[in-house]
Parts: sequence; structure tokens; C-alpha cells
Amino acid sequence: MTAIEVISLSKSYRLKGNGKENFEALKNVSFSIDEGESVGIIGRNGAGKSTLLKLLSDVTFPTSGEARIAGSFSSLLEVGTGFHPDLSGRDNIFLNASIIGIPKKEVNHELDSIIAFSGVGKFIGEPLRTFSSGMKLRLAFSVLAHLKTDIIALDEVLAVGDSMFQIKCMERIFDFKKQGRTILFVSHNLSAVKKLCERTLVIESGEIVFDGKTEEAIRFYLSKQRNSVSDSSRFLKTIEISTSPNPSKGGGTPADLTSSNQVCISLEIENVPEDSELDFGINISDSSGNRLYHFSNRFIGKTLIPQSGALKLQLDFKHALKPGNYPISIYLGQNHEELAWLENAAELLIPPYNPHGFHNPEAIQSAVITDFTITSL
Amino acid sequence: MPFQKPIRIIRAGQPFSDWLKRLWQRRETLWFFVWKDLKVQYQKPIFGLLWSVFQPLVYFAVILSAVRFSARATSETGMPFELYLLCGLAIWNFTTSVILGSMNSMQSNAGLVTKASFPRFYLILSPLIKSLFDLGIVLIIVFAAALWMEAEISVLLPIYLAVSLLLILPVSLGLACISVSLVVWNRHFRHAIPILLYAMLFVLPIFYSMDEISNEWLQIAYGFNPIAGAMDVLRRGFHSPDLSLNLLLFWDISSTILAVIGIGFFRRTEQTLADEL
Repeated sequence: MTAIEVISLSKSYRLKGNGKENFEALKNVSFSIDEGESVGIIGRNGAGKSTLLKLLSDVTFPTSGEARIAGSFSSLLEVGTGFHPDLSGRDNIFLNASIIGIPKKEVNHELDSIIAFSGVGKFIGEPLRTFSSGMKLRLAFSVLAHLKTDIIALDEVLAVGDSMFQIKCMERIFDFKKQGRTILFVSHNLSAVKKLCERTLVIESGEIVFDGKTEEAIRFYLSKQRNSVSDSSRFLKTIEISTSPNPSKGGGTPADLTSSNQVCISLEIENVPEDSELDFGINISDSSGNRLYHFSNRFIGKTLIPQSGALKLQLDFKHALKPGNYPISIYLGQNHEELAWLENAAELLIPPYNPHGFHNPEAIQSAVITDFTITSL
Repeated sequence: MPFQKPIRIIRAGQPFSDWLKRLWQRRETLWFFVWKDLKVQYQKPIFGLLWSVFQPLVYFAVILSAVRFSARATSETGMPFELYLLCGLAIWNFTTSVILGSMNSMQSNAGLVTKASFPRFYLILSPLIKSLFDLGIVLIIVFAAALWMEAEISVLLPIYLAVSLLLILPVSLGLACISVSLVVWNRHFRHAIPILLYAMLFVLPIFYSMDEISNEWLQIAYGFNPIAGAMDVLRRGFHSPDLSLNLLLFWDISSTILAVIGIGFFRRTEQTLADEL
């Protein structure tokens, strides 16, 4: 059964500044979603994700095209819409519910469970302005969590709140999914999208550029991001990363660890303009973008000369990283000028490892140093 | 495509019938908007009441003392001048608060408009209903004043009151729609409209009578002014009823036209409201 069908939907905004110029936020978008599907929507800021949700939820109107929605639809583009600071928490539940279209009868029926879920307890009768921002958020989400609609659209609901609350939200969203409701999930949190959705749409400058399995969609999206950073990617022909194999589980010695934390990055560089000395650097960041490691041929006084614009390189080093994904960026320079900065050119994957036989290896939340001594005095 | 559940179609433009249907379907949200405004205002009932009548009473006091100081003759109105003034101010205050209230509610609910889906017309209807509530309180004061001043009260007062409301409601709604549309179109109207509303205090026959105007053209202009009409009809409830049906018809027509134009404007504004706010 089809839940949402979108047929060449377009939305353009009139730009006021420059005469009669139009900005096309959404161009001829078409897709259809079956009942019970959870579909992720990813894309860069300003790609048109929110515009799409706004159109589907009737907040604004399309310029052309059509969408058909079967069954009740509710969207929370932002939790807590329409809260009034001078009204009590309880009153605000009714107000908020009414604005997003939940009948009063239903709220009356669910009121106790909404209040319980929010965890604001005895403060529910106090004016909202006395609530902490976390309490407001929990209250707002618990209204949403009790929605009875067939289709639910969520836009960056997980971007706010503490981690405990985020987990609670996510659990609730999984409940929606189990109940067989259709979910549209817009998020920048790719791992949440991966967990929740089998299918994902990638939106780029107002167009759907990918529609398929979530894993492929995320791969597509990330590769797009890499390529779009600059055309300097023409310098990088291949890049291969290998980490030494995992030592077996259970007790290990420092020697095992040393052999396990070896990383080898080999790459081929081409299209270098001249065959003069090349500056080469590699930067490794964590998944939040914090720069961790930097390597440069200058640090060790190594000279690199390309042959007819091409060069093969291999970088070997020992890491002290905990398991996870680490984006790698590459710097190329010539004659003290930057040729290319390849942001997120590849990703270093450190698989889960536990050479020291800890019961709970996830508890290690930082880099691992093995080259040290402890002396009993 | 097979659909089982009721289908909602999203496309550019919305037929008027759908617009009305949705206005009716989501009416609970409208009551919540009104309830919110009332609840916020009446959390302390005394202050709430005070705010309902504050503006008309202050103007009443100011104008009354101004007129008294200038020793202006007030006999032409055919009823106690205080009562005459109160009736005019009640109507003027209603229209003003509907218009300013709509502009305010559009502004303060901008976050809501860009995020939630509900009939945007409620943002005008809810201040209208709330102003109606305030008007009720002011009218109770008017009636009490009439009793206290032992003014002549017509038995037809309820009918005059109803006719007066029928005139003032569409015109206030229409003007509110037009004002909101103008503000959305160009923000500078936000400052211009309140000034025009206060100018209305002098342009409308609030503290003078239409009969005092000697200019024939101005007389005709007033004949088409439904706000002046509403004031006139309300005042008839307190003295000799000699209402000309011709004039009433003119007022009625112009009031309806204003409402139709206003709603038409608003429906165009509504299409891009979430993008413009």
C-alpha cells in the first residue's frame, strides 16, 4: 500500500534582493513510499530536505507538482512548537497537541502517560517559563511520542537534548517502526539513519540524486561530499588503507598490540603539473572532525620527486587509536604553494580489538599508549 | 496507485471549498488559540478585565475632558454625550484591536507558521474572537453607564446591537486581512498601520456626530463607511430609532465587499506565508 506519492514536486522562492530572480529549492522531485517503510533523507544543509518536509506537512505550498498522502500525517519540524511560557506544562501539552493536530479527546486519554514519559513530574502544573530547557524538550517530545498518526516525519529531532534523552527518543522512534507506521527521518546523524532506515533518499541542490538502500546511499553521499570539495581530486588516482589483522580475542601481550596497531596507506598521485619537489601531508581526524595526527615528508626530511606527473607513495605508521572511523585528508603542495587539499579523501577504519583482555573494551574512550613503563617504588 | 486511507493532495493553490472545509475540520485548534490568549490574559482575573477595558476607558477620559474643557456643545447627539462617546469608542476599539491583534499574532506565531500546519486564517480569527470577548465586556460597561445615566434605552437594543455587530465583524475581518497581507508584503506597514488606526479616532464620528458635517461629499463618504455605520446603529439603541434602510444597505454592502477583498488578499498571502515570515 502506498503511503506517500510525490510527483514532480517543485518549490521555488522569490529572491527579493535581486529583482525577479527565483531560487529553486526543490526541482521535479518524484518518489513513492510504501506503508510501514522507514525512509531516511540525507543531504547537505540547504539541499532541500526541510523544504520537502514542509511541503509534505502542508506548512508551505509547492510551486508545481503534486503529492498524495494516504492516512494521517504529522510532522514535528521542531519539537515544542507553540509552547507558551506563561501557561502550565499541562496546558502546554494541550496547546502543542492541538497545533500539531491531535484531538483533545486523544490527549485527555493519554495525558497521564504523556506526563509520565516526559518525566517532569510535579512541575507539570508550573508555568513553562520555570522549566529548564531540557524539561521543555522532554515535554515536547512526549507529546510527539504519543501521536497516533499513520505517517510521522521527523526533522533533526535528535540534534538536541542530552544523550540519555536521545536514546529514549530513538527507542520511541523504533517503537513507531515496530507498530508498522511510516517514518520519514531527516537527519545529519548518519549512524542513526543507518540504524532506523532500510531506504534512504539523498538530496542535493533540490534534486533526489540517490534513492536506494541506506548503506549505498550513505556511501554515495559521502563520496559526493569528497568529490564536491574541489576538483583537486584529479590528483589522487588510488588510495588503499590496510590495518594489520586483529589479534585473537582474550589475553594479549604488548607485543601483540604493537603488531596490531600497524597502518599502511598506499596511494598513487597523478596529474602533478611539474616534476619538481612535491610536498605531501596526511591528516587523520576523528569522526567529529577533530584533527588527531599529521604526517608530512618534511618532518622526516624526505624528498619526493614525481615522474612525468605521477608518484606512488606508501605511508606506514603505528596508531594509538580506539576502534572507530577516522577520515583522512591529504595535502599536496609544490614550490611552497598548495596544489590540493583533499578533505576526507578516505577513511581509516579501526576494527574493534581487545588485545589486553579487558572485560569491557568499549570503556576505553581514548587513544591507547603502549610505549611506557610502570615501576614499583 | 492503490490507496486505502483517506488521501490528502498537496498542490499549488487550494480551492476555496477545501479551504473552508479545513477551516472547519481543525476548529479545535482555533479554540485553543483563543483559549490560550484568554487564559494568559485572565490568569489574574482583575488584571485581565482591566486590560479588556483599559484602552477605551483611557480614551474616554481623555476625549471627555478635552471636550468638556473646550465647552463644546453636546446636545446634537440626542443622548448623553458620555454614552455617545462610549458607543463610538467601543466600536473603534474593537476594530483597532482586531487589526493590531492579527498583526501581532502573525508576528508572535511566526515560528509556528514556519513549522506546523494549521489553517493560517486562525491567526486572524482568534484575535477577532478574543476582541469580541473584550467588546462584550465594554458593552456591559456601556449598558451599565446607560442605566446609571438614566438614558433612554430602546426596546430594540438587542436588534441594533446585532446589526451593529453584523456590520463591524466583516469590516474588521477584512481590514485585518488586508493589514496582515500588507505587513507580510512589506514590513514597513507594521509601523504605518497603527498610525492610521489612531488617525481613525478623529476621522470617525466618535466624539462628533455625522449630522454636524456640512460637506455633502463627506456625508456620502460616511454613508459608505461601515465602521461609522456600526457606531450609528449601536447608538440608535439608546435614543430615537429613525434608521434609514438605504444607508444600512450601503454600509452592509461596503462591509461585505471589504471582507471579501480581505479574505481574497489573505488567501494569496497565505500561500507564501511560511516562506516570507
